[in-house]
Amino acid sequence: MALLEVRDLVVRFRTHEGTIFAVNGVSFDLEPGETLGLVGESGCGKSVTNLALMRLLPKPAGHIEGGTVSFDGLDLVSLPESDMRELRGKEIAMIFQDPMTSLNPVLTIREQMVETIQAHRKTTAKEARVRAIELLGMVGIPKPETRLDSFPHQFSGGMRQRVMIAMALALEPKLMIADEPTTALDVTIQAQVLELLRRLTTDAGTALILITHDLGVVAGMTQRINVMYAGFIVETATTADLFAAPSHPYTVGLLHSIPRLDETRPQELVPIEGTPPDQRRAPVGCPFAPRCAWRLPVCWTDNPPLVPIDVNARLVVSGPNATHQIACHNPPTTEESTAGRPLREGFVPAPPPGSVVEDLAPTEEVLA
Amino acid sequence: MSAPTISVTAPGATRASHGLWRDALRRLIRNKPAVLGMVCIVIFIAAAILAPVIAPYGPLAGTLADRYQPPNAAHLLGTDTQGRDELTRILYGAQVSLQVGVIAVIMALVMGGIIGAVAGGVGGRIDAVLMRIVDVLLAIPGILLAIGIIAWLDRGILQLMLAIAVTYVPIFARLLRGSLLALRESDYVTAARSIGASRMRILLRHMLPNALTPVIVSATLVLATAIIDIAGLGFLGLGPPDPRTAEWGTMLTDARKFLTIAPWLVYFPGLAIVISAIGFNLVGDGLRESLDPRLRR
Amino acid sequence: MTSPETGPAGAATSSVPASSSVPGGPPGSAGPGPSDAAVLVDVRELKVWFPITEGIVLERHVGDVRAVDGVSFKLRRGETLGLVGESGCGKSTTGRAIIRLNAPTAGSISFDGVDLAGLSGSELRRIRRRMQMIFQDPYSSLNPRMTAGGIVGEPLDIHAIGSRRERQERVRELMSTVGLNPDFVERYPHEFSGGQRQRIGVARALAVNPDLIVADEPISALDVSIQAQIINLLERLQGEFDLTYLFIAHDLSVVRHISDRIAVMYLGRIVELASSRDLNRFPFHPYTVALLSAIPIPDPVVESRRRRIILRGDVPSPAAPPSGCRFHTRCWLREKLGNPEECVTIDPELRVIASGHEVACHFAEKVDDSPEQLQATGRASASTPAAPGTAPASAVTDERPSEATTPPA
Repeated sequence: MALLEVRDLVVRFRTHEGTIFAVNGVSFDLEPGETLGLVGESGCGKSVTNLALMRLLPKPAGHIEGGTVSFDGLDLVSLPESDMRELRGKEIAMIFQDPMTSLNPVLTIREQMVETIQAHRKTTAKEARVRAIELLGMVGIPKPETRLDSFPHQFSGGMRQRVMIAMALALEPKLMIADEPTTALDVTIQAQVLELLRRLTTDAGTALILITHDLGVVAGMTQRINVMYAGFIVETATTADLFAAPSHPYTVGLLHSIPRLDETRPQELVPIEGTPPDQRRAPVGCPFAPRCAWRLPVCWTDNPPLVPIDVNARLVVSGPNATHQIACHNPPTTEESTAGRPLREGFVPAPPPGSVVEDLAPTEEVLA
Repeated sequence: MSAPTISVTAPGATRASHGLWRDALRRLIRNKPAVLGMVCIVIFIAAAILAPVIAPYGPLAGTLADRYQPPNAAHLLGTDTQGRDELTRILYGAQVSLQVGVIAVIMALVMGGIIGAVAGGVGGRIDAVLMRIVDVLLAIPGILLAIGIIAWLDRGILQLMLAIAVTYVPIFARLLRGSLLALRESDYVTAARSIGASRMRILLRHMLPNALTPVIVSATLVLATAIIDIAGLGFLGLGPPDPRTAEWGTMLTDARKFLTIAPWLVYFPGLAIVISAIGFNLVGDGLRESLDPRLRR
Repeated sequence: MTSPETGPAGAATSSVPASSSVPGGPPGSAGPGPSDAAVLVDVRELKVWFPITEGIVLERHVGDVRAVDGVSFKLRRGETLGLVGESGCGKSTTGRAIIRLNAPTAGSISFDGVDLAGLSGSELRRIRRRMQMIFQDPYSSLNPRMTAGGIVGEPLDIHAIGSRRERQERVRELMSTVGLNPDFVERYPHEFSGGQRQRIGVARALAVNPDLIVADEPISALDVSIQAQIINLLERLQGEFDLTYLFIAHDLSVVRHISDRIAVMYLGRIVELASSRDLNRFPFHPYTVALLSAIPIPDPVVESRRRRIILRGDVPSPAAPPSGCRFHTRCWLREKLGNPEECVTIDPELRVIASGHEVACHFAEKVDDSPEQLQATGRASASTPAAPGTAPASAVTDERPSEATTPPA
């Protein structure tokens, strides 16, 4: 049985100024010990999905308005808050992007770690302290006995993130969720922290959900990847498959937007036109349609479901043999995927329904 | 390379914009306590301005024979110690509070603003010296400072304004200085420097418009307290020297001795003070929330 | 203002070709364009130190944050020089010093032959017209109370260019040049998306037809898909308006894509300066090698074969840089060579190691063709993945506690 099963999760924020459609029907599984990457840009719903899993959505605006989340057999959506609190930290741990704001600046590290440990385990303060020192050593903090009594601001960004990892792993959770853990760090520190994260989660058999916008990071860290856009999963595959054969226009676009360090000749960047979607509108049709170079008229009206690329393949949702699925009416061919743009003779992306058709060049002005 | 992209507009911005002020106003209107506050303010201002028109009697009209009357048909709020109509006096009292209050706050704003702007803009020794003067002013309790000033300058409407203004100068000085210091480091100010803007231009065009927000919020809140201060000084006998002037605080003093006989003479001025002060308070709070640049990212 | 120091040790050689419109072009290409284009900006031994003071009443000068501590380079007309490094290396401060937003503590900066130190008032303003800046944060670099048109037109206003009508025309023209609808001149910044705001910033920088644009992390705050749009925009504008760019960023992949030459900075100094391609294929400084090896590549096959060089510890504080070579506290090469004396005692100068390639390291020659360099640049052939015997001494993982103590903030 999968460790985590998410089915048709819908999350909305209800505010004075209207509704924000943050997550619009997301389903995925996670096996014990597996590392899953959630990739997307700002506003795609990757962070919100995980806040919803942890039931940490900002109140009063955030609501889970549909779907189920099952963790180790437990239904997390309907679990009482007190039980949820038991789970957090102990079974499911989360680390965030900015460790400065997730660590309490007026408490020493010792106080925060001991508090975490003691909240979930019956240990004496002394035993908790010993465990804390052990953890700090495990994450590579030098002289942990003395550093334990420091305040967060006395650590550098990389060290703070390690402290967060130490706290997250203190109770040996089954699942760790890392939300952009290295985005705010320098690249050499990022390498250190990712290395650490990978090693510790592999050694302890912790499942990991890694949320990021950086395709390079997921390439090296994950076994499977979900690509998200506007609150939907638009492509899911094993990491190897995703990079070997990116099939959704958004994924293709992302890969062509990033200059690669190992390119031998300078490649032209083929950016995705347009701007990220407005989440204040309920989604109609495929959310990527306004920016998609492959769109057909049906894309404006019909949101394509997530289905296997190979229609005859047996559907495997997790693990190393997971089926490569995409949500697209008109997926690019392999050549187009390599080129980054449609190659069909005379193909022009379908204009929005009801607009006056004048100039049909691919870079037309699109009215949101 | 293909033709330049015409980017899509930020979705939702289909109507012409009116900038942050109108946006703030719209948000303010949705804030219920703030609306209540605005109603109070409107009543207060209407009372002050329209007093000559809507007051049932003249402010000085009254005979001793009519005194100490409780609220009745002829005198809706009763009569005072000299037989004058209380309602009329309350209405006219608003004039003093409004006039003195608003002008005192404006004076404080200007004086404090200049001190703060110079301190924040020039910095260095001048900043240190100015701020120490401000600190000294702050160290003296407001009411004592005001009493001292009036004792020195004698009673009078202008002196009243000045006394109250001086007690609020430090707040505005500090506020503006703080805002300016913070803004000096902001990116768009740096950008303005990089394109060659002069210091004056940066101050007037870039820093002050953005620094004014907290100052305006403060001004409304200060006005609330100023109204109370005016009444307080009046209560202490330091209000407008002319005994015939209707002023809420002075009315309170006069009525104090007669609390057992004519308690309404204490309630009504007190209520008037409270309603006006609360009004400005609520609006000030509402403004603070709505002017907060919660810009949608 | 202190006088410029003589004999710049780190003068760039003159054989670097001017930029063609294909940045990062084929190695050593003469490229179209003159081979010794005019030098637009000449920076010599630039130092920018920020004083640290203590004390409440009497402020005592107790030290300095040496943000930029002796930087020299030449920027040629029409080229794009990338300035790359991690936080605290001084790249942003260098850029700002050139635009005169920070006053240099020492050293000299010349723009088109004119020493900027002596200028003030209207002379300074005239020079300012020729160099403009693009800022990192599109959300804070635009005055929220000004319209887009007002922001873009402000430089024209300040320098009194054209009549009012002409200025309005020009603003509209600029908006469409950067890809924005000219009808949006009346809108306020909060009505635009991040990418669009950045375009407004670019339009503002272009308004007075500058020669030089210093781009300080212009895309770091944007979404990936928008970054590519802005990069392409900048490249196109460079060709169209004959601009010279100083491109400051921490993302080496992007810098490499857009730059002709790259300077790598560490703790206030340039540690390596080379053409974009040479830096990527033949890095000579151990820090550059570590940087290249740390950057994740979006290809799981490549990633699985890589063996990262993990640097120990954190960047030392710029207020107390290490003695000798600043990088020695974290240097894998030093460790591999058995901790040679020079690294701790002698501060290496930026010296020429190959044509158009300078490096500041005592043992740079040893880096060439080392397994670390081959691994980091991907030149190691697929048949010889990093064997345990070759790289372990240098691939320092962070299991061992670092001796480099992190100074308290």
